[in-house]
Amino acid sequence: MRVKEGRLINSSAPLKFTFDDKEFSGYEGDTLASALIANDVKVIGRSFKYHRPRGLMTDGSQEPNGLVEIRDGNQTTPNVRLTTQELVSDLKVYSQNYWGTLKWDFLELNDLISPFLSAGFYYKTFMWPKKFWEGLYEPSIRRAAGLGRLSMANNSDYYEKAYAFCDVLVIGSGPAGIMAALTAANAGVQVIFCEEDSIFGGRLNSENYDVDGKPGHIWAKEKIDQLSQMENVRCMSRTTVTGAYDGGTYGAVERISHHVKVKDAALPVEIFWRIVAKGAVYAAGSMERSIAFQNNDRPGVFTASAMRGYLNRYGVSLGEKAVIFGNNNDAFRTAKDLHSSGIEIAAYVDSRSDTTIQGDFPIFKGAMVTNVRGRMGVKEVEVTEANGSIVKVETGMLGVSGGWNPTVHLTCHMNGKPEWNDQLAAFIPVPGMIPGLEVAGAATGVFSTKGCMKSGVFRAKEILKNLGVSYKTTSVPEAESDPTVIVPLWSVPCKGRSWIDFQNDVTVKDIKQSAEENFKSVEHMKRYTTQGMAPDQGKNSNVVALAVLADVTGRAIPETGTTTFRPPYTPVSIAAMGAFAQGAGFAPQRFTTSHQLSVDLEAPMIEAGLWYRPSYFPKKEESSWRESCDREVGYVRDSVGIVDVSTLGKIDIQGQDASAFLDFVYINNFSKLAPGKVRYGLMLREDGHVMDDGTAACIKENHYVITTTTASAGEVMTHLEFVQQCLVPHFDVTLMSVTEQWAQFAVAGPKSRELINQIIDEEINSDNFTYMAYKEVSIGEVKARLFRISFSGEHAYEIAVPSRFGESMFKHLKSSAENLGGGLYGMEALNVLRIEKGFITHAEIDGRITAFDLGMQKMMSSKKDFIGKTAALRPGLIDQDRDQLVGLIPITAADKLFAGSYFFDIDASAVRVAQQGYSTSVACSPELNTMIALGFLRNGKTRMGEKIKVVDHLRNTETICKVCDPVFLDKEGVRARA
Amino acid sequence: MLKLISKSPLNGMKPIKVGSLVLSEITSVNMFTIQPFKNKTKTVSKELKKLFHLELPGDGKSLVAKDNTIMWIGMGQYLFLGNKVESISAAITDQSDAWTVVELAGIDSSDVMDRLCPVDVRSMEVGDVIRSLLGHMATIVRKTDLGYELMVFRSFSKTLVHEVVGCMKSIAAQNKLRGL
Repeated sequence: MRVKEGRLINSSAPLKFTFDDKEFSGYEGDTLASALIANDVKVIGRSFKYHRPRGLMTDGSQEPNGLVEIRDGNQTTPNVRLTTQELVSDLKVYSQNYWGTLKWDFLELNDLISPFLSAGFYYKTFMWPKKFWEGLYEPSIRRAAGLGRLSMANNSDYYEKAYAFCDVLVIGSGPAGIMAALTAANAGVQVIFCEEDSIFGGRLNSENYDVDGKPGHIWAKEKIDQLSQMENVRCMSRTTVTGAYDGGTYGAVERISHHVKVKDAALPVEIFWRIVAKGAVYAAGSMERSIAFQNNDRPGVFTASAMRGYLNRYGVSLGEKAVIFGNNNDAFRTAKDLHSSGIEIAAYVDSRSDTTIQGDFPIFKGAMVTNVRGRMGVKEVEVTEANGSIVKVETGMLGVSGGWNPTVHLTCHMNGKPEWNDQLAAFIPVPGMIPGLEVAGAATGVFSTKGCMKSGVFRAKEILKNLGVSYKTTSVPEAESDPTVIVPLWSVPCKGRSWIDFQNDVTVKDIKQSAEENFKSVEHMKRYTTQGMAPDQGKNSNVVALAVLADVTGRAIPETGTTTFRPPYTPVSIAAMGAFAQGAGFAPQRFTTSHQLSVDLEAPMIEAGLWYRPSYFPKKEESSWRESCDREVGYVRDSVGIVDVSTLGKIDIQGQDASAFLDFVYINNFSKLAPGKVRYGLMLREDGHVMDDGTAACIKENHYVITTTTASAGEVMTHLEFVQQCLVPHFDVTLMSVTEQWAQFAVAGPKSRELINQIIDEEINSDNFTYMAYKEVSIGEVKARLFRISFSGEHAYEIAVPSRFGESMFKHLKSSAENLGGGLYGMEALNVLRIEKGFITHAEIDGRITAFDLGMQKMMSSKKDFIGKTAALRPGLIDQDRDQLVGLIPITAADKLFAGSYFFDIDASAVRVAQQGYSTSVACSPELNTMIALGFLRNGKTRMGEKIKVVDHLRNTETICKVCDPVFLDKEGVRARA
Repeated sequence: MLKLISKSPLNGMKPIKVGSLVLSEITSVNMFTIQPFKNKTKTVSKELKKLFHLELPGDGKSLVAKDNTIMWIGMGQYLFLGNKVESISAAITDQSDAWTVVELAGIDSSDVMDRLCPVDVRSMEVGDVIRSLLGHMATIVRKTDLGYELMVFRSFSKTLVHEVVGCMKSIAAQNKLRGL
């Protein structure tokens, strides 16, 4: 119910929303949690394992129970915390984790059979019978497991990633954070100030303390207004810093539009920030912990601070009557705040017998809450007094405080371990856990408001000192400075179940059992019981769990230690981390200058690295790609075909040592390549295997342009730069990629010269432009590069024009080719043409192949040194028994062949140990009217004419083939030299 | 005689305006890489000074004189924009068609860059140059008076516009949400 007007609620702006399709209302400024409490909704979800009805427990991001789905359709977002989701008009909210309804959950059966479902149940139970695992156990467990549902549709929401840089990052905006930010900001450095909540101020917004003579939240607002006016300060609300990483880098999630009703499609839901800070002040505060007692998970059992937070900030309470149970003075603040707002304190139960607290309500000193009744909401609390007598108190809610845990999480992200402090009964960070990060305020165990403020100033100064920045003295305002008075109490002995990890349903009994079964290490206990492994990552349960473990194993808490806190601090949407990668954003796209024309011709585009290339150019009358491909192959074999080869890497190499450099990186000799000539070259890696192949053209003396394959353009450039900078730094040679400068087209076929002569200004003939020649030519005012090279085995050219003319050139080439009875061809035809000719691509040179395997060992110059030479001549790499490149033709022409098939002797069985090699490329050869293949066959060169068995185990085919030379046609190269 | 038609990388794209931000294609410039030959850096600097009143800039810097700009783009590599450069003691490579050049201008341009470039571009001064990433694309970024000049390989043009405009729209929507 709404007890009073909350200080941060806009009661003039009512908002409607639905929870499990039932309509409720709240106000602007509410979270879903406060709005549900205002509407007296007690049960908001079901627990993970036992499906017990659960209510809200906290008022922050550590909330273990209040996880819901919001929105619908493909924007359904599961596991949203009710405590951090701001109320939005018409928001649809659905509870999670039940089979049936929230009220009647079939899986609550688990709670009835809970004695059988204790820690280790899965490990012990699903061992037998073995065959039940896949058929029964796994599907059943999968059905029951997991929290929330996905829509299974592509999420239409937009997310972002971004980078930010600052001098000082301040994490958290309670009293410590505000003072740290003010100190840093006044020193003039660049400050990023992050707050998880929708408004700045931290606990000051939820408490009744005065600061500087005014309500804490008013003071906080004034300071934030001051900071947000400063140019050197970037205030980021709704931003959770989720991880601390190397080099002063912090991950943070900013919630942008979860609180927007109708959002612009361009508005991101969340932004995942990578913030690089020279220094950081971590002022993330602390979290109140619970105490384990019987049925402490009933809906209506809150942490005490959450109860007063809901009342002070939002004016809401789950009932008119409350019981408070604590072991420290802070719990008493809740009783005072509730009492002054007219809520009856039915009992104040303090486990300390010597406490001096006093109030106008029943106070039980040295007493404990020993049970809570009310399955769907607290109805009655059982209090056991110091003398053992039991008092039953009727109430709708119970506030519990077992003390406060400093929020040490981020400080542990680089493997640092916090230290136990006996006086505070809590773990606190030790200095230097994260380089450049100083911890201030409650996060370091300073719990009073005044102490936090002092700590914030001091820690910010430490950072500024480290940065060598001078700073002004920042005065610390007056505020409460009560000491921390606590007597540890972790669990209340009981016969029933008392909960420690609410999210993963881990009880005191489970921890005890873990220790009894010798899982005594805290890390083993965690894994055996799943304590601390849920989305809240043990925020509520870790310290209590290890205290209980320490108790049952007879060790001290410091000796028991903590488990590891890992990033992220709160769950981060995968969509935020993978922002920009949806759809086409997954990878950049590279388009040639002829791309649009190819698409307009309805050519299916295939990806080659990031490039897109036409597969084939279909004609209306053609019913399959094979028909198009065969036609296009025919253009090249019979008249002339055109293909865009701009995607091949092109590297400009200049300098007095350019030819020596080429000699060093290619296996064959280049120093005698004359200007106007082109040579094929093979490049090895240092380990002697083939890296790439291509051509090098000598433009003029000391100036070359080399080509690489499309796939290896980047790799070869990197390799060459490495060679130049590290292996031959004394060479006078420069390297520059010119891949994108030139749009290059292959013009291939018997009529290619005729076509070229129609395009260029000068005339070429068989005398003035022979095979493997290069020259610069003119096309009007445009200077083009003409190469007489062939990847099809036909008389062919490649012509390159500056890319601005690429599209125009492609159009001219297309129409000229068509006039000569030819036309465009795509990758399919290109592949058929090169396989028929036995030319290799990266299908063959896959990184495991040597020049010897390709039959190119004679190209390896004996007169010079080159990269990979020594390694390539190792006995194992020139062994006759290696798999060597061969061609294959099926004995029966109609038989099919598939790339990736394995070779076997004709009589051998097709098993792994008997394999004799594998096929790398296959094609349907229109020339030979059969399928053909290239592949690597054991000792292949000596096996020409032999019959082998080619088996594709995936497609279940077996084809008998004859081994032949990998060059299927025009072995002498007459056509190319025509 | 065949007349080839020239087309700029973004085909003369009209400036795209979103909120306070404008993305425009920069065309019609000669662009050459200059890589001084061994031990010729000082000589090249002198030659450029004589020819264009420009010298080789320091790492991460660019210099402008009249219609010519020269920028550092890597170890021993400079990009010259403007007049044609020839006959100096350096390897000269024509790159006039290799790069797509756009300017992202507007007071919120740094917000767009925050989303695409992993470098602290806000600390750049006018004329500063970095080589970095724009999304997944290798890029050259130069700080200008109005924002940033961005260069990617020509083939990435479509992705460049898609990614930058997407972020421009997002920034405009976020500003609207914040009442800016």
